[in-house]
Amino acid sequence: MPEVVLDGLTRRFGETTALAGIDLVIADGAFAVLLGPSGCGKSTTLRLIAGLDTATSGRIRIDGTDVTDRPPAKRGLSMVFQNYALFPHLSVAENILFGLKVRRVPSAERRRRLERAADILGLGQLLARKPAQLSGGQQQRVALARAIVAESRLCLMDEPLSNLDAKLRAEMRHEIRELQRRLDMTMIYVTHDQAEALSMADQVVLMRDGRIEQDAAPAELYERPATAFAASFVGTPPMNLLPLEASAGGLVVAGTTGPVLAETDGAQQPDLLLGIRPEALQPQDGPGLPVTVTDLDYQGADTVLVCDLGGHTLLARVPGHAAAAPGSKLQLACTAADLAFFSAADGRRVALSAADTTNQPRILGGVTSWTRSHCSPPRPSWRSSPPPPRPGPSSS
Amino acid sequence: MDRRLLTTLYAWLLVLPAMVLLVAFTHYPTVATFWASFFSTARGRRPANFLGLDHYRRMITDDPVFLQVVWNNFLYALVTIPLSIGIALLMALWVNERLAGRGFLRMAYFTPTVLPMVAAANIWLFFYTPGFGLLNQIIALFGGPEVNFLGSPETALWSVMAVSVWKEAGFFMIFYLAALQSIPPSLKEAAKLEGASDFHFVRRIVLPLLMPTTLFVLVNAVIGAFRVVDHIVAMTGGGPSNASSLLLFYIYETGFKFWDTSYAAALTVVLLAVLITVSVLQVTVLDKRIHYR
Repeated sequence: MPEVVLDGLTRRFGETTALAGIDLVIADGAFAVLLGPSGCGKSTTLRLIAGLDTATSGRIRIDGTDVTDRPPAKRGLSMVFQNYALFPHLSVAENILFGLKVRRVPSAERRRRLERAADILGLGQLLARKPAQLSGGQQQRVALARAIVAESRLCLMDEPLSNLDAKLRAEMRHEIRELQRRLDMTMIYVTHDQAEALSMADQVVLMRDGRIEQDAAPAELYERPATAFAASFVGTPPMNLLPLEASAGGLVVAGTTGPVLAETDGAQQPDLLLGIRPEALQPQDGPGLPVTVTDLDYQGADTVLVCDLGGHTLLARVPGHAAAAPGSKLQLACTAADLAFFSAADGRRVALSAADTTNQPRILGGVTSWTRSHCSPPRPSWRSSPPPPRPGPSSS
Repeated sequence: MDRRLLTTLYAWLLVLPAMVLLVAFTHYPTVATFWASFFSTARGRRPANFLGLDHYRRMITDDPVFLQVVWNNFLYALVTIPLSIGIALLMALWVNERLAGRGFLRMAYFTPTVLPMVAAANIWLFFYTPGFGLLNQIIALFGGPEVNFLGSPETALWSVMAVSVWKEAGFFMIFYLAALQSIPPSLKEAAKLEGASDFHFVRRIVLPLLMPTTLFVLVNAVIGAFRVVDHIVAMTGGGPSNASSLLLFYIYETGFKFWDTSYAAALTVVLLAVLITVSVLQVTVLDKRIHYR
């Protein structure tokens, strides 16, 4: 059961801290994605798990065994590198079998595993070729084949799709996900692409500055971001974040006179940020957020309206080809459930006045149920498996 | 028609400067050397006579010095080339690792290459000096007998070889180092994950990937081994009794000391033939086994 447990894992390079003591549990058979901007420590984490780098402190347990001090080959894992790391002078078959030869696996067994891997990944015709004679997608498949012939149940991937074009990337996403299911592997996958993370993962570990920002299932990460950073990193386009200020009736978007988005109990409120997903905002005739459209970004199935609200930019995703012209004024409405509040100081999510129901944010306008269901983030139908068991509250 | 003629004329005019230089200093001398090797050397009022292949016959049947020089040069190439390439590879592998003082080491290894050969030869003259030379002092420290490295026929050639290995290895190391650095580090990591030892990785991955560099270095080393003249001049003068004389040095002596220029021309033709044969062999035979990226 390759369950991976990281315990206070820290990596410092001289003065800089790449990884500041992270705790993480990845369940057996889970597809975990380490997500974050460059320099957040996700690749460092992966390299520490692989044993290609040594932790400054903290422990790594795979399958219940402490592997922190073991060399990479003794950790029972395989890895796919960003540039595939294929040996350019060896044929596809030799590349795939390199590790088995090193480990002195008998040749009959080698042949069996090669055939299986070539069969799974459709490499049968390419076995005699050199890597340079393959397309990017084919090279990617060879790298995958090399990872699966080891028949280790834990597989690490370091941005494996970043060198492929968009169409191939979508195909390979699906293929990798299916491979992971079929071979019942635990997968730890590093990417900076939030769309990739949402579509592939059972568990997304969002990282920032060497810490875990949020560790959650994709739907939870998207629908209930724990911090303003998580809100602004996930989603295309990401969540709108607007500063709030107190007015006579309650909290309003800074620079506007209303509407009131949350009532205050009169006590001193810390500075707050308002978060709204672009697809939660829909134009309507009734009262709402009064905005001026400044630009349109037509994306086919829907259009992103770039709006101005009290000097802040607000994005709204509306279905189809929106008729609104730049310069026109609109009322954008959403429901109370779509509003999220974050502390401006530390970015943490704030539950506003949960004790008193009258202090719940008021619903802005009457948005139809059709709009609501349309606005909920689409989930692929094949994601039917329950999210993996997660550790307690994520550290940050 | 006129236009095409004009274009052709332009083309020739553009090629002309380079061609003049090449013809004057490369092609004409080569052909002239070849031609002169069939004649006797003109002396005073005696003009050059056509001798046919007499010079070549003389080399094989009537010139023990030539045979010794060829043997010397063969031995010289056989020892210095593998040794300097091997050392270069080891040094490159070593200074390509992460280690303290890596930059200093790289510079130290490369320094001999920067020195002019004559300067290097002079430094080594001091090392080899009988009596108070560095090497003899070290030998004396252990109570060994005094050795006249450059003065005795048994050691002269080997002493000269040591100098050229010392000098060439650093030069070849730079090529290997450049090639090593073009190998992505992820290859090593991938091999490590598969459980390959460092030795296995070097043997199965690094050496094959360095083959293009090895061919280049090898061709250079062979040409270099047959062109050596400066440190022979500076250190031994080919002696004692031709023990450290090499082909080019013998040609130089024949041509410019004994003034037997046409025999020197014949020797030069032999040298050229050797170099061309070896280079063609290397490139054609080895090329098929080399993976070029």
